[in-house]
Amino acid sequence: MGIPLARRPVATSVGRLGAQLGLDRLAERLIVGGVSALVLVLVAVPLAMLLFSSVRSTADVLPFEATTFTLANYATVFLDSRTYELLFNTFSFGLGAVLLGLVIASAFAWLLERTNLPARQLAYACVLAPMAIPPMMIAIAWILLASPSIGLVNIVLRSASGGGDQGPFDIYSLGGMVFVSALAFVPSMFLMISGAFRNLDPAMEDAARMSGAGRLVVLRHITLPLLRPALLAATIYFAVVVVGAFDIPAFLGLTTGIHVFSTKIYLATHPQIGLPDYGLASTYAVIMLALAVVLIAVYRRCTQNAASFATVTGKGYRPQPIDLGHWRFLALAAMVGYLLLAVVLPLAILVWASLLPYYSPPSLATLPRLSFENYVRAWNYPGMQDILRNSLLVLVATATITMAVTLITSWLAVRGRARLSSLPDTVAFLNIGIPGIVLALGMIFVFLTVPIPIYGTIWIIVVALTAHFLPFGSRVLGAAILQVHSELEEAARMSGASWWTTLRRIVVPLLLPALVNAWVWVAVHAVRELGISLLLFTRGNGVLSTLIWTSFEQEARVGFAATLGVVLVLLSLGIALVARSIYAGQHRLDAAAR
Amino acid sequence: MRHTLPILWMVLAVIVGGCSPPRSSTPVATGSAAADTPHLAQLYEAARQEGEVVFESAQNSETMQPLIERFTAKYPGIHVSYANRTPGETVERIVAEATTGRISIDGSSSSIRTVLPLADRNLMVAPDWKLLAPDLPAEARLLGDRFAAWYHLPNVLAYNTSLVRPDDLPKQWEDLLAPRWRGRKMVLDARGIGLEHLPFVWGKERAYDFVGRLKAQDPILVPRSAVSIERVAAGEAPLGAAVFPNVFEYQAKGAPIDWVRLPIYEASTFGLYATAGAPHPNAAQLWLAFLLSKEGRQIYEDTAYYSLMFPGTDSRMERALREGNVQLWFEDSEAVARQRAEGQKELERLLGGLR
Repeated sequence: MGIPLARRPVATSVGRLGAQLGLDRLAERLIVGGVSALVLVLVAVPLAMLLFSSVRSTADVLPFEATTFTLANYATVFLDSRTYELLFNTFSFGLGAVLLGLVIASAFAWLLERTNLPARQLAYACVLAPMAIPPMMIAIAWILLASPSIGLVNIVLRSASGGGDQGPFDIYSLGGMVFVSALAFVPSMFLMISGAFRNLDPAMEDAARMSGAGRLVVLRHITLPLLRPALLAATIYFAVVVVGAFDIPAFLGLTTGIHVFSTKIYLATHPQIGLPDYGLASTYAVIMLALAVVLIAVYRRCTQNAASFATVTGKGYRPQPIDLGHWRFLALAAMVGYLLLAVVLPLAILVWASLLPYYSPPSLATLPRLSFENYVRAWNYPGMQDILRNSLLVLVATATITMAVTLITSWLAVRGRARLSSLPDTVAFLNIGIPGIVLALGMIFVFLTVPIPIYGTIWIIVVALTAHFLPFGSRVLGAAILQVHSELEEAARMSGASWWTTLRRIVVPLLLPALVNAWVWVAVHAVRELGISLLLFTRGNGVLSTLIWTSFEQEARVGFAATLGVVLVLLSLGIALVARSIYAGQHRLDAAAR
Repeated sequence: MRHTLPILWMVLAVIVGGCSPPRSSTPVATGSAAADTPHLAQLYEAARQEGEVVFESAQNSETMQPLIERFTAKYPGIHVSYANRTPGETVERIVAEATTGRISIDGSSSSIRTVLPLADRNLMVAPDWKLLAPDLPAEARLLGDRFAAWYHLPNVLAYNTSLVRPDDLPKQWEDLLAPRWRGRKMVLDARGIGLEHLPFVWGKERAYDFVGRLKAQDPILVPRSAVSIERVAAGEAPLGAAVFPNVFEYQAKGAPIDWVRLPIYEASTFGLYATAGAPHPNAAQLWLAFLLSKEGRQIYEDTAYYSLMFPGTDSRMERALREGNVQLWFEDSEAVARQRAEGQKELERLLGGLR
């Protein structure tokens, strides 16, 4: 990758340099101050709403209606023995899903970014494909595949073994939740850590091998410690995300009474009768937020010494792919296995379901009922044009604004010298502890009150989603910036480049892999995000995810929901391929320029 | 790469541009509004000045589309902005908007108990239903005339005809406690929907004992009955809760579904209301008048099988129940709705539910 240093001539007079530095500092302060204020507003308001609601008596009233302040919600939660069962389920589910997912994602990242694995472009696209399938669709797909009685995998295994009418697998279990969640989160984990694998300077590994260290020793004592910030960031981030995840626990756990915090919050905000109990829901959310704060503190302590992790320095480096030799066939087989479980089987069963007027397991007898009726119906669905347009707008706007904001906050956190430099980044990350539903409610109250006319438009969804995805952006870019030594920026500034020029022409090109990956991740997640969109959508700003939800959850139209899920998959695959093409094209241009 | 982006944008433009246009297309005027009563004619003039009605309900857009098209053809100049949302979410939205004085929803459809928070906060208007819907029976006007019954929703038990012989079907509610229905052989609504009439019909003690023993049968619990019938049709369980219109819908799709003729089922009452303080009050009332008219109700029944089921209404569902010698228990007043809401919490607790 080329590092184009400032092409302008060095300032020749002290006066001009002084004026330039003054303007430079002013621009820096304005941009940084503006972004920091935006982050504080996006995060502080929902946080304030959360804390406020948790100390209000809200049985059958909303938090802002006439009611009293009380600690009864906290008493209810901490004195209820079911809360501790909730904690146990949540930790078991979270720990299992994160560990399993991270092992798979790390192996994947290493194979794709550090080795000579063949068919890389296709493999990369297939890793990201599960991202395009909303978690609830992955859950639905695995229900259709591993439901005790009608799951396709179970039917096949039972016919092979010749016995029973249930099992052997039961997807409605804690193990099922861990398995499906891990499959669903591997792509996101991969995006979060792959940049670190790609930018790892192999010089240290080569030096260790030349000194006689074996591969496992190199992995344990060189590679993993260098990757620690990225791996730790991913672990902490996804620990909080999985704990807050709703879709998979709802579909797979509720029918057997396996409750986790997220489903408890959802149920409290969606009562069968009466108004939601936001006080109780907010109390659960405050507990989740407290967990997030603890995890953030752990993360900060572990990554204090940033320079020791920097591997992209001013010295040139050329990462060489590791030759897998005969192991590449085993690696390929493992990847095919993952693709089968995460993409091929779920997509196949969703396509099958989309071709049926009502669901039946695959069989020869069902073949005559296959038709494209659901696709025709989707094409002619009233308002589909609006829905598709809204979905595209949401994904582009949310991803772009999120990356722009978190670029500034992450840079400030890593490079800023002032005492409060890391405050916007920390505040942005705290948003991870706020469930999307509570965040959305906060947005409703804000934009019903302040005279900014975005309530009821697609932009309130964009604003809420941007706030929701700030934590992801800040973690990815923070980890990426940690790997870029400050000497590169210092060299640019010493050559007369302004702060903005340095950011634009030095920092951003170096961060491009992480930026592109994170943009893709946010775009795909924004278009499939459900909780926030459900609460904020009105007529005219519906998106694909809300239509999928209402089709399945309210109307149980598995076929129609599967059809929309297939459309969403194709849309998201297209986004991923285009983004990779842009990145690969930029990569070729830079190589040609050198 | 040079060609990828333009090609992609062209494909997206074809997709977005080619599928159904927004609902704001101008309908062809038919002039049938002239056949309305003087009150409705006057209402139409006022509504046309407003230009729009904002309505939400749990029905999907396809189901509402014929009604919207007929309304806009009959009353040109009034656009119907429709959103598919659960009644509870709509109620919550209205209450939240009311706290800031900026209500945006003109009206909605809901069950009686779901709309009680609005009634308690005086957020529903009481139109003169005799002028708006002269054909509407008196017993359909509820909550102090703030709520007009639009359709009844019987909650029945459906079964998969490929998995159960008619002779093996339960004949009484207590037959569900037989060993043949134990071990994930039934799909039930975890909220207790479908069982809520039992405390009223049998008394609380007997009803709650029955539900407790039903729970011991290890049924599959689902969030709502619509999910249940999908699972029954797929063959996951032979028997399951269902809303009656869905039985007809699945039969029309060719699914092996029929319904169990138990002696008595319950029917929720879903009705229409107009929001107090809404931005388009006249358009809202005109829209509700249309939905409650003979024409509107016939379109709704033809599209989605929903209808009022008072004895003698002779709707398709009412005939089916009559021919099956099945009695319906109605939720027919605010008092019953409140008692039912309280009872539903106990039923959900006994089933072990989703909460």
